[in-house]
This record gives sequence, C-alpha cells and structure tokens, in this order.
Amino acid sequence: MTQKSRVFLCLFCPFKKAIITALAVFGIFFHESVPAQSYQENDWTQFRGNQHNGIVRNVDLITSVPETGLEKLWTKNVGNGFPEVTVLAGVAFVFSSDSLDGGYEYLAAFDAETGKDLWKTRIDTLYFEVDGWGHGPRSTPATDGEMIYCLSGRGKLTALTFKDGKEVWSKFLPKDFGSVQPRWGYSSSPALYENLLILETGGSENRAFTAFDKKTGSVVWSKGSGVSFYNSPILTFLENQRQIIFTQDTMLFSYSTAGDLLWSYRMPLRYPYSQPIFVAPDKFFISALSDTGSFLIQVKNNQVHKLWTSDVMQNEWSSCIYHDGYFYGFSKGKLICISAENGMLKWGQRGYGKGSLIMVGDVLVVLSDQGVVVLVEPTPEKFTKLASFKAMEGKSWTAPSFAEGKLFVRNLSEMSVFKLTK
Amino acid sequence: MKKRYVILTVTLFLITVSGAVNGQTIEEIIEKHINAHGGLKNWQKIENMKITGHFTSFSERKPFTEIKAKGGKYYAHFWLGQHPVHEGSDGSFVWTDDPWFELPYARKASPVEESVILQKSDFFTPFINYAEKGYKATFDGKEVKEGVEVFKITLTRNDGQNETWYLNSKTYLEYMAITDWSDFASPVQQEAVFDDFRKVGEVVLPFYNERVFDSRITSTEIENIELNVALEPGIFNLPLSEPMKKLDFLRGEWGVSFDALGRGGNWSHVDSTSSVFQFIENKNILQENISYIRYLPLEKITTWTFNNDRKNYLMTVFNDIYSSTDVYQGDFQGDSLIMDNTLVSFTKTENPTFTRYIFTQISQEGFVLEIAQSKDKGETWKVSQKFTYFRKK
Repeated sequence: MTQKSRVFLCLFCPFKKAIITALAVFGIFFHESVPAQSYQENDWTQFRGNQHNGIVRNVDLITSVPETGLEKLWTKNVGNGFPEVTVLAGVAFVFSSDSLDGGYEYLAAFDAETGKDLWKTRIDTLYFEVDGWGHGPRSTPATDGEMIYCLSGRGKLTALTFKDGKEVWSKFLPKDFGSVQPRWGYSSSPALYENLLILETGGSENRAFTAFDKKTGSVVWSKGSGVSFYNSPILTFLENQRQIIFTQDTMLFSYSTAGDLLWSYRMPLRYPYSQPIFVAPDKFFISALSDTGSFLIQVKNNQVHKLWTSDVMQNEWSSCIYHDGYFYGFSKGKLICISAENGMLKWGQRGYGKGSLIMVGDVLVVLSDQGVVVLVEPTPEKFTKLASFKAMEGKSWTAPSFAEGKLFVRNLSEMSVFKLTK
Repeated sequence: MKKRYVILTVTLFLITVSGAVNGQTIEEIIEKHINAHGGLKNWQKIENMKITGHFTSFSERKPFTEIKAKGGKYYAHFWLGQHPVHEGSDGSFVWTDDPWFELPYARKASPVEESVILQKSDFFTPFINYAEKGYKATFDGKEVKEGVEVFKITLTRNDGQNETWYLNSKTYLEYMAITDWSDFASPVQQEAVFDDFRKVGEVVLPFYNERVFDSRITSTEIENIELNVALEPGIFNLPLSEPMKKLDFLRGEWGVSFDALGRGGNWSHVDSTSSVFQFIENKNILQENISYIRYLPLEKITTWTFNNDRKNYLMTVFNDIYSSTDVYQGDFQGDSLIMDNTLVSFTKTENPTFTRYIFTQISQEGFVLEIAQSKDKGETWKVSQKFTYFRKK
C-alpha cells in the first residue's frame, strides 16, 4: 500500500470502519498481541508503537551503514520535549515546546517524508521543570487517523483533528479530575482502543484510570484510586479478552474495556517508570531501579502467579524489548540481555549511558543518551553490534520511533529522520 | 570453643598464604601495577597535573578541569547536568559548591562528599606510596569481571574505608573499582571502570572512566593532561562567596587615624592605631581587630558575614570595655558601604539613638569609616567619629 493510499484510507475512505474491523479480526487470529487499532503495522501511532511493546515487525532493516553514508531525510529544530514522534499515514507528529512569550507547548505535524510543515497548534502553557532535566511535554500523542490526542506537562488532555490540528475537545486533569501534577510533570501517554481513549488520570474520588469517548471527551468510565504517575496504560489480549493494564505505586491492575476490574497484583517493587512488557500469551514482565529489579508473573483465570524475581535488570524509565525468550534493556548504565526463563544475565554492554531501544524487524535499534544509534543483533549469545551512527548531538532520552521505513529520533532541541530500510 | 579456634586458625592461615597460593604477593602485584603506570621514580617527579576533557552526568556532556597536586591537594570545575560545580581540598580542608543544595557559595564538604573528593585527589591510582599514606591492601585472589581476568584487591584507606580494586591480570592496570561514593551527599556504592590508558610523559594514565552509582551514570573523557604546571595561588582553598569578595578591599593591615567631634563642634585627633582585617580561614567571615584609646582603652572585634536570604551584610561589633555586642546590617549604596542598626536595635526606649557605620572614599590605598548617630529613627544622621584607614606597606 502506498503512502498516498494509506492517507486516503485514514482520512477519507467511507469503508474505513469495515476495513478496520476486518483488520482487527485478522489481528486477533494472527498476532501474538492484537493491535490496539488496526493500523498498518508499519506505523507508530502511540507510545511504544501500535502494540505498546516498542516492536515493529516485518521490516527489512539495514544491518550496516553504507559507504556512502546513511540517508538523512530531514532534520529540524523542534524545541524542548520528551514525547516520542507519532507517525501515521505519512504524517509525523512532534509534541514540543518553546520558551517564547512565557513558554507554550505545541503539537506540530510534518510531512514524514520531507519534513514540510503541515500545521502547528498551541496546546498549553509551558510545563517548566525546576530540576533542570528539561521543560515541555513528556507524554507521547496517540492518533487513530481522524484525531490526535496529547497530554501536556501541566495536565491538559487535548483532542485535535488529524488533518489540520483544530482542537475538538479538552480536559484539564487538575481541574476536571482533582488530579495533582506529578513532580516531573504529567507523563502518562494515552492509549486508543475502538471508541475509547484510555489514560491514567490520577484523579480524586476513584478517578485514577479513565476511558473517554474519543470523539466527544465524555467520560465512559473512571475507576481506581491513586495519584498521577509516570506510567502509561497498555492494551493486551489474554484469556480471550482485551485487557487494559495500569501500574500504580506498588499495584498492577487489569481492567476490561468496559471498566471492570479483572485482577490486581501487589508488585514486589514500587514505582516502575518503565512500561510493563506483555509476554504472550499470559505473562507480564516489570522492572524498576530497585533491589528487587524485575519480576515475571503469569495470569491464569484472573489469578496472578509470580514466576521469578531478579535484580539483574533494573530499568529506570527506558522500557525493555522482549524477543524470543529474552529481555533486552538498560540497567544501571549497561545494555543487557536476560533470560525470560529465570532473569539471569546473558550479556551486558557499557557505553550507551541512559539509552533506549526499540526493535525493528530482526534488529534492536538502540539510541544512546548522547544521540548515537546502534543496531544490535537480538541474540542472547553475546552483544553483537551491526552498525552505528551519530544521529543527534546532546542529551537524548526519548526512545526512537520507526514507521514507514524511517527512523525518527528527537531530543530536547532537534529531531532527525533517517531511511533505515534496505 | 575448640572448633572455633581451629576455624580461626585455618582462616588466618589461608589469608596469610592466599598470595602464595595465587602465585604473587600483594606487594609484587602493586609493584607491577605501579610499573605499568610508569614506575614509582617517574611518579615521584610529578608535583601536580592539570587535566581537561569532557565529563558527562545526567546525560549532559560538558567540559571539565581538574588540578591535582601532591599532598592531596585538589581543585575541579565541572558540570552536574546543567549546574556548574567547583570542589577542592587544600590537603586538609575539603570544600564544594555543589548547587543541588541551593547554596550559592562554596562550603565545607560533608563527610560523604569529603571521602569522594579525597578519592578524586589521588593521582589516579591510590596504590602509589599507599603504605606511606597509611593505606592497607590485601590480595583476595583472581576473578573474572566482565570477561576479563583480574586480581581482586581490598584497599583500606586510613579513615577505615574499604575499597575493592580489580587489576587486569595481564596488564596490571586497574580495570574496575568498587568504592563509597556520594549521591546528593548521601552515601552510595559506586562501580567504576577504567579504560583508554595512554602515556603522558613517562607515566601511564586512564583517559576514560565510567562510574555507576544508584541511578547515576557518569563518564570522564580526558583530552589533555599537563604535568607540573604553574598553579594559581590559592586555587585549592575554599573560594569566598561573591558578596564576601566585595569586602576584599578591607582585607589587610592598616594604619588608622582616629578623629572625633568635640562638644564644641570641632574635630580633633584622638589617637593613632593599627588594625587588621582578615578572612577566617576557609570561612565566609571577615574579622577586624582594632584597639584605640578614647578616655579608656577600647578594643573592638568586628565580624562580617552575608545573609543570602536577606541579601545584605551583617556586622557584629564586640566592644571589650562594655563587654557588649551590637549588630548592624546594610549593603553598598553607590560607592559607600553603609551599615546601621535601625532594624536590629534591641532597646526598649521610645526614641532610641541609632548608630551607622559608613565606609566611604574607598580605594586600594585606604578608606574612611564614619560613625554617625540618629535620634529621629534614621531620618537624619550626624557623624561623630572618623577613622581614616591607610594601607600599611
């Protein structure tokens, strides 16, 4: 499918719903984890990609840097912000900020191929980060091709039209939910499922987790207690139903899409900043910088059984990738690989600081905190670097996005787009 | 009891012979380690070193400068994230201006910070003259660390702190160290690795190190090392805070001429004396000692500090004859420094007399101190005493 035809599908196709339903049914039968939305697998529609797992499959990625150098498609100064770049149907969305006129946060849309400006909408006043880590938004926008949804650092949830960035509805979490801004700003990224926009709202009076009608912004259900934190909901499919997973302090919760609590589990660690990793068909891996480090649980009949804990993998905010029985991720300054069987270390490699990683095709795409992209073979045998190149200058804490054959990287000032397919 | 005795004996025996079991003694290993670094003779020629490069913390890579000199003297300027840091030691007093505590001046380091700064003040390896420095080392056998065969050595510094050092068994250079470290002045344990050893003059030094502690990762990339450079005087001492630097014009030995206003309204010379203004060592306190005669012999001790919250100077004046202390506050107004007690008077009388100290006509060679009184709550002031200070050669 060409880029143009996919834009057409997303924006104008009258049979879109039918196609989406058909694709969703296809997904249920043929994917280990069903897509939350039925986008092309080759898009990056929300935080950690369509599957919330940081993985894009079926891509033939380069495994060496050509002698002629990598093809950098475009680069842009985008300002302060930590959200991943969201990409769908040839449009790249960058949620960022600048300090002009007192400071504002903006959502901007660019042509993913050329970087041409499409639109830019002011979302909220700037979230100013007092500790000096970086101002601006933290949460990655989510899009379904009709609308795009973003949460500002100060807690303004905004729905805009995909096509031209017009605001359709908004909520302000402190005012509308009695939520308290976390120390480092609102960071939870919204997740989309059918007509729902799901978000950790951290509200008072049992409004910690909320599903909105994505078209109108009305609350479909709001459940649970707890404050806003830095984790994002993920959508999984296990035990024959869609489940929404939230983490909150020491608790892990699973809700049905109707808002029923299916199961909960008191974790052996607190405050994981990194995302839960779903291991199909019924396991979850969670890691945090703590003495416990990480653990694997299995869910059967809504009962949770802990399989193991291991202090080897200690994720800070960067989440792991699961592949073929092993977890790959950052732990105390090293990129490491551990066994999903028992949490034991397979290998570790220094030199990438507080990096992040995703998986594209059969290759781990690692971004060091200094803006170096490293392509790594996902094997437990040993650390095997395939290629590397300098993508950006300066502190780079945002994980890359991959869509439509292109790698999107951004940091606190610039973003760059590289063609990485053969 | 017997059993315990036997276990203890065997343990002691094993510890004693462990070096022999592993083929080398601790002394031999450390000697080879020093030789790998260029040899003791060459190290003994080094009085100081100036190191520049880039230091990365909180993923921010910024330039740094370090100066190390014999006797544990140390100075560094680097960045923690986006915040500049200075720290140092004159060999006994250890200081830092770590900005995370939001104190905009250098202060005495906490014991945890002091331990880290003393580690940094080593000429890279702590094993040079380790016995002379009072350190103890034991060889704990061979291990494999991250695929590298290493000698494991426990080093006990003279403050009792234990460190574990891993020396590459092939090169005898340090591969890794686990030591106490500081994270926001809280004690943590760090793991440091060393790499990129290069020759500078006749000695060999690691041009790269990476430290991991708690959630932090720092790396140091050295770009240049200069040996035996000329040092700026006082570089290792605690620097004065910016406001106190403004009082530096007072520092020194002074001749003083004292004039007073008589009852008839005429000025007359009362006494000639001398005075010394000096900063108390490693503190942001300036002190003056002066004595003169006006009817009775007066001895005054004044101290000066700066209050960072109120953004003004505080001056206390201890008068020996009256055994009393008065407190004044103020700041520079134009070219004069004006201190008075209108806001800090402790009298309960309805119309108190306030006193003002006015430092004026300030130059490198001298200044005039006028002491004035006000009987209308500071509306008007009448000068009654003048002290003319001229710098002693």
